[in-house]
Parts: sequence; structure tokens; C-alpha cells
Amino acid sequence: MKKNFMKGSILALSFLALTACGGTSPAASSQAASSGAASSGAASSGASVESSVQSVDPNAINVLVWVAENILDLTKAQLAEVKAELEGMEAFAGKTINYTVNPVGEGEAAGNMITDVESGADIYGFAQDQLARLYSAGALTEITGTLKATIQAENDVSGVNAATFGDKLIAFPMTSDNGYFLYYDKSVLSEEDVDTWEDLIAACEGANKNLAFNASSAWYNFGFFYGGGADSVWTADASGAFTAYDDTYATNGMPGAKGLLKVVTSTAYVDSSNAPTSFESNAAACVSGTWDYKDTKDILGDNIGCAALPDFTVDGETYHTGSFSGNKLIGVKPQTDALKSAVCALTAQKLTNAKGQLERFNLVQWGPSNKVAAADPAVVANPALVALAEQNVNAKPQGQFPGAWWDTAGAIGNSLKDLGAGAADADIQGILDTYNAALEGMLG
Amino acid sequence: MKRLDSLEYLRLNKWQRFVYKITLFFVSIPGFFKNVGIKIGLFFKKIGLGIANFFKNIVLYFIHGDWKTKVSYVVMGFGSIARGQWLRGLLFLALEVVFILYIVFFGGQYLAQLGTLGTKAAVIETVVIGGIEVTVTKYYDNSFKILLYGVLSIFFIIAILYTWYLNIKQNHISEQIIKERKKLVSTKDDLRALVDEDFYKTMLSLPAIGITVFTILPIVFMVLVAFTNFDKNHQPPQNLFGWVGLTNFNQLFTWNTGGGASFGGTFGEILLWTLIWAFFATFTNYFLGMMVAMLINKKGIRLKKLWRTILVFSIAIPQFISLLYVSKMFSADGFINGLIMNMGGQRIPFWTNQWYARVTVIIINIWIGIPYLMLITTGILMNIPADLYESAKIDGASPAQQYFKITLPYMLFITGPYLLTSFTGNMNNFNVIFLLTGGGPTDINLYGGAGHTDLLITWLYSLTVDDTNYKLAAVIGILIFIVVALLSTIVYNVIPSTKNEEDFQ
Repeated sequence: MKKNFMKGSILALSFLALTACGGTSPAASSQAASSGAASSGAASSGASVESSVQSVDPNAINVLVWVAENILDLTKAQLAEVKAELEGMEAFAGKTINYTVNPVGEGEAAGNMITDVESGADIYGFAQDQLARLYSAGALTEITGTLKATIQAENDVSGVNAATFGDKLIAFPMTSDNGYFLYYDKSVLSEEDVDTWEDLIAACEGANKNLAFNASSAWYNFGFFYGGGADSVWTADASGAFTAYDDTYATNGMPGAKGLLKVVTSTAYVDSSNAPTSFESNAAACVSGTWDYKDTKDILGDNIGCAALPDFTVDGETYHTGSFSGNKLIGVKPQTDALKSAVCALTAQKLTNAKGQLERFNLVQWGPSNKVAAADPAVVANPALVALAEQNVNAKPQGQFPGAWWDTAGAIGNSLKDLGAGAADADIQGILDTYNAALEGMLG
Repeated sequence: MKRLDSLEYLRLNKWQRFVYKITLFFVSIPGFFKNVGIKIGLFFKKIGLGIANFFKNIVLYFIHGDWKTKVSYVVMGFGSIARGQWLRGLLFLALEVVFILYIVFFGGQYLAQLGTLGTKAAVIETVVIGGIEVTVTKYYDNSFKILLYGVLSIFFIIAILYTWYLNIKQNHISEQIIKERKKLVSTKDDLRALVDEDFYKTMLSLPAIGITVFTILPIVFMVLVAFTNFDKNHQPPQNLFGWVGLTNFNQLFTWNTGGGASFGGTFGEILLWTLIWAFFATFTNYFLGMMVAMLINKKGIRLKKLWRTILVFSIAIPQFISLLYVSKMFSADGFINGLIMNMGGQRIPFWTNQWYARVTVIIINIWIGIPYLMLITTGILMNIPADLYESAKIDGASPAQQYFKITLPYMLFITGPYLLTSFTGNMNNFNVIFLLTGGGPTDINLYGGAGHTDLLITWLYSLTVDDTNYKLAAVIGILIFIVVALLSTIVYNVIPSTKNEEDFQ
């Protein structure tokens, strides 16, 4: 019996070690394992893989590029031209430039780069909210000198701001359409209905239709706070660490919070920013961006309406709803080889010049950040971009925020909803105070 | 407290028996922990003695050994080769050479920096190529690799120390054998032994190395990360991270950070929910699954195979797909709410209200879990000897009594260990929570974007993937291990399967 007990406990212990640890660490240990494996490959070989490749062909410069799947073929074609152009340059005489283009979406690309810089792509597309994280992970290289001047001169202010951290330009603006506006179904709502949130809510409730707004996302619910006169501004030092903030949610956030409360406590409210699926499932209006235009048009046909966000009235005063205007960017990973660094920088620049951006607009309707491309007649006539331009009057160019800010500010949406309609001012202020108290911990 | 013998016990009435049992339980708790303490003490004593013996032998073997043995202290395997056991000797020697080469050319640099995890971060320079200015980055110390290969080197050193000890012990044994004028084991004998009585060594050497490198090494690495400041601002290869001692664990006990959400408070809430979830997810599935199996097994039920097949369908479809689909179905603009609205009802906030969300995930988990339990229990139920039921029936037992006196004890006996695994499995049930709610609904009062249905494991995931906060994730990983290990040890010792082994044999 005693022996059996001992055997049992040994078995139990080993079993525990297996289940507990096996279960504990899918993220951590696979992360450790994968980067471990990757770095063990890269450890001895990181430098030497390149050198061994170079020893096979010392004149080859191999560049790995990650772009979204829907522009994969276009990028391949663009890179073929860039290759010819660069190989003709004197600086790269006798070199062969080899591009490998893989389909990796913006979100995934940022995640992969942050987890393992060494095995990541040399050039990759990402959304600007990841800029700070990518920079502190050492996945972005600074753009200096004449190249910096060219980028700053050719792109709109929001694009340049989005790619700037502190006073450093660390990415190439690729689009200037990462903002949001209102899509609505013209067969249900009239143009008057979408002037104010109050009318919109009443019309949706009256028609027993859904109103989709992603209130649990800081990116979207910021519009109400910014429109109501509150703001959040973050400053970072050269290393990518946040050093100070100027946040007025707690002091000026009440109008915005009350406006948001009206939306989230409506019976029509649905927490979503996916316009196509929302309209497929009984929505009459949805706040989303240009990326949903094509699919929404397929669903609503001629009934598709695009408008700037409605106004809201709190305590007798009317406010325009604000928004973020944001950008997609192309980043270049820090390089250890000077020639390759130059190839990557020039490639990224040529992918994001007027021609490159216009070709992308024609294929997938991404709104250009390049001033020349943005003035193109086809771009100016796009209904979604027109609505976005209208909304952008009240938009704030999205600067840099700590990763934790997005989580915390996003949570305001659900917390407000939990208070219910007609919540007391003190309770709303309580949420804003809790938010405010969390900010200090995001520094550093 | 006075223990009653069985006659005295039987004399008590029902109520007194109940009180007696309860008191007995509480009285036995200190004893249980005392026993555990004693066992742990004995374990460490044994280890301590082993280590003392190790050093004693090293000195004794050297003093009493001949010159071949003494040379073997420096040149491993020398004694074995000199005495004609060249295979053993060469292996020892080869290992020493490999070790020295490893330390000199690879491990040494990392080992030397293990104390600081690196001191020189990357340097960025500007150069001009073809008329344009570009940056070039020079990487120096990489904390990640220093920690990883440093730990690997320590493992190697421990292994080599042990081999070195074996090597001198081998010399000692050989000396003894020669002294007794017996014949030494030859290389030929050694080779034959590897496929004969020592065959387990041949078979186990590869798995043992594999487990060390791919399981133990990452776990040790993860544990060590909890004592560093490896987070978004300290990411190799560009930046360094270093040791910070227990700072990360201190954060667990910061209950109030001036009004904002605290890490300690959030951890407490998520741990509590994790335990509640694991309890319900395990036992609702267990009892309902058993009930369904009994229903289908009942005599007179027709189309048994059809019912089983229908239930098994939910297993056949990958969870990944079915859960995402169900999650969509219950969303605010999903099918269920659409139906409710069309019938003129109010929308139900399945995923946006914390209580609805918690109940909904438990119920959906029942739907996924029942078929598994049904399959497992069907076989066991059919195994219960029918004569047990027959005699119970003759004695006038009601169906409920039969269930509680025959079926349930038998099931618990057989499936006790399964219940334990499934409980620990549910504590770490990443899939169901992540795919259904993603941890939401989020709340401003929870730290780091945690939500009300987050389990420790999904929170750990979002800390690593969304916030790059490896240090806190490692702390949580360690805590999950402690909680699971504690619970499992206690439960394992009370389940009938390990206590009354003879009951059903």
C-alpha cells in the first residue's frame, strides 16, 4: 500500500509537470521555443546565413517583403520595376537584388516583427497604431537626410505625423484613409436621419434595425471624447518610451461620455465595425472605414450611403463627433549591411511614391497619402473618400499611444454600457477617473 | 479527539455520525500537512546526503586511488583506457573535449554574461550610399540568447560534472575489481550490454536529451524570465534586459495603484473566475454526459446508434470552426438576437454583460463537452456488473439509490483521474474562452485590458501577444503551475481511485 502510494505520488508529480507546464505555456513557451529555435538557427547563422548566402553569390542582395494579400500581385509587379531601376544605379552596379514577397496582413506582420525581429521581413506594411510598439521592439529603422526631406514634402500632414516618432521619421506613409465615417442604408434612413445621433438612434430603433458602432474599441470611441472637447496626447523619448501625457478625459470627457452612453444604451446598438456583416444582419447604419466600401456596396447596391459622423447634443449643447485620421505605413527593419539598408530604403520609398499609391488605389481603393496621388480625379470622386474627407475636418491625426492605452480607453465603452441609460453624472465621472488613474502606469 | 471504533460508531444516530465525520475531516487536516511536510523533509535529507556523499567520494577516491585514477581527475577516461576499457575511456574523453570546445567557442561568452544579461546595446550609425543617407545597425549583446544559452551551458556543466564523477567512480570500481583479481568488463561486453541488459540506456538516451532541451530548458527559461524586466521597452536584439529580482512578484501584491486597476486585484478576480469556470466546466459536463449516456443505454431506447452519431457530430467538426460560429451566433447582431428581436423581444447582451457572458460560455461548453463524456462513460456503464443492480432491485432499492450506491461510486472510481485531468485541463482551456469571447467583456477596472471571462491562460496570452509583457506573463505562468500543482496533489490524494484500490477488483 505504502509502495503504491509512493508510486502514485511520483506518477502524479510527473503527470502534473506535464499537464501544468504543457498547459501553462502555449504562448510563453512556444514563444520561447520558436524564438529559441529561430535564434538558435540565427545565433550561429544570423550573420553567417547571410555570409554563407553571400559566399555563394557575393553580389546578391536578398530582400524579404511582407504585404497584405490583396496587393500581393501588384506589389510583385511594382518590385520588378524597382529591381530594374535599382540595379541600373551606380551604387549597386554588379549587384543582383532578389525580392521575396509574402502575403502577411498588416496586423499579423506587426505581431510577427515584434515577436522576432531577426527572422522578420526587411520591408513590411503595418497600421500606424503599431508604430510605437514596433519601434521599441527595434523593428523600424530611422529615415534621415534627403530621403526624409522627400517623404515629408510629398505626403500629407497626417501621413507624415503618423510615420514620425518624437522628431524621428521611422516609416514610409502608404495610405491616408485609415479613418472612419458612417455607412447607412438609404432604403431605411434619410439624409436627415444621419445628421444627429439622436435622430439616427430613434430611426434605427423605430425601424427595428441595428446600429453598429465599435464602442469597445478606443480607436472608435475616441471620436465622441474628442468631439466633446477631450483629448489624449502622449510624448515619447528617442528610445520609444513614453515620458509624459496630457489627457483631459477626466476633466472634459463628460459630454463625450454622455454622447457615447446614448449610443451604447440604445436597444439598436451593436458593438461592431464590420460593415458588410452588420448590413447582412439587419443593420441600418455602421461606423467603419474605406476598407469596407467595396463589400458594403456589393450588399447595399445603390442604397449605400456614406456620410460624416452625426452630431450629438448633451445638456443643450451640440458637438461634432470627432475621429482619428490614420494611415497605413511601410516599415524597414534595421539592417546590418549598408548596401542592403540603402536598397531597402529606396525600395520602400518607390513603393510609396505617387505612382505606387495610385496603382494601389485603382486596385483596392486605398486612399493615397501622397499629395499628387490624392489630387487624382478618380480619387477625388470616390464616395467613401469624399465622406472621409468631410469627416476629417473634425478628425485628429492619430499620433502615438502606448499599447495599454488602447485596451484601457477601449474598456470605457463596455463600462458605460454597464451603467445603463440615464446613468448619474457621478457614476460616469467614476469611470473617467478610473481611466485617468490608469494612465500613469502606461509611462515608460 | 477520540477515535470511535466501529461498534461505537454504529451506535450513533444519523446526525451524530455526520458531525463525527465532519470533525474527523477537520481534525485530519493538520495531520495531512504534517505528513506532507515530513515527506518533503525526508526528500531533502536524502538529496543532502547524496550531495555530501558525492564530495566525500571525490576526496576518498583521489586519496586511495592509484596514479591512473589520479590522472583521470584531469583527463577524463584516462584510467579506463589505461586499464583496457577503451570504449568507456574514449567516450569520457570525447565528452570532455566536446565540453571544452563548447565552452571556449560558444557557451563561455554567454555564461560569462549571465550575471548581467549583457551590457552593450545595439549601436546605430549613418552612412551614405549612392547619394542617400541610410542607417546601419550594429548588434552587440543579446540578452535573450545570453539567458537561453547561459542556461543551456549550466545544464551542460551539470551533466559534465556528473559524468566526471562517474568517470572517477568507474576508476575506483575498476581498482576494486583488479584488487580482487577478477576480470574487468571488456569493450566487447560493454557493446553487448547496450543491446541486452543495458538496452534501456540505448533506448532512453535520445528521449532524455530531447526532453531536457525541448521541455525542461524552455520551462527553466520561462521561470527565469519572471525575474527579469523583459518587456516592451527591453526587447533584444536592439535593447537589453536584466535581472530585477522579485520586483515582478511584488506587483501581484499591489492592490491599489491610486484608483486605477491593479495587477494584484485583477489577478485575484481572474484566478477566482478560472477556478469557478474549471469547476463548472468539469462537473456539468461530467454529470450531464453521464446522464445522456445512461439515457441512451437504457433498455427500450430505439435507434441508439443514431443518437450517438448525432452527438458525436459536434466532435467531428473542428472546435475552431464551431466555436467561432457559435460566438457569432450569440453576438449582438447574431442569429439568436435577430430571432429574439423579430419576436419583439429585447436584445440579450450575451457577450457584453459579464454575467451573461460567463453563463453563456459555461453552457456552450456543455454542448461541446457532453459528447466526449458520453463516449467515455458509455463503455464504463456497460461494464458495471448487471447482477449488482439485480440484487439491489430485489432488496428494494429505488433507481436513485441504485445510482448513488452503485453507478456513481463505480464511475467515480474509474474516472477519478480523468476528472482531475479534465479539471486542470479546463483551468487552461484556452480554446473555448479565446474563440468565444476573446476574454471579453473588457472593463476599465481590470488591469492590462483583461476581460471578465479571461482565464489566467488567455490573460497570459494577451499580455505576451498584445502588450509584449513577457515578465508578467512568466509570473502568471509560474502561479498557474503552483495553483494547478497544489490542487492536483490534494485532489489526487482524496479521490477513491487512489485510496481504495481494492474496492472494485
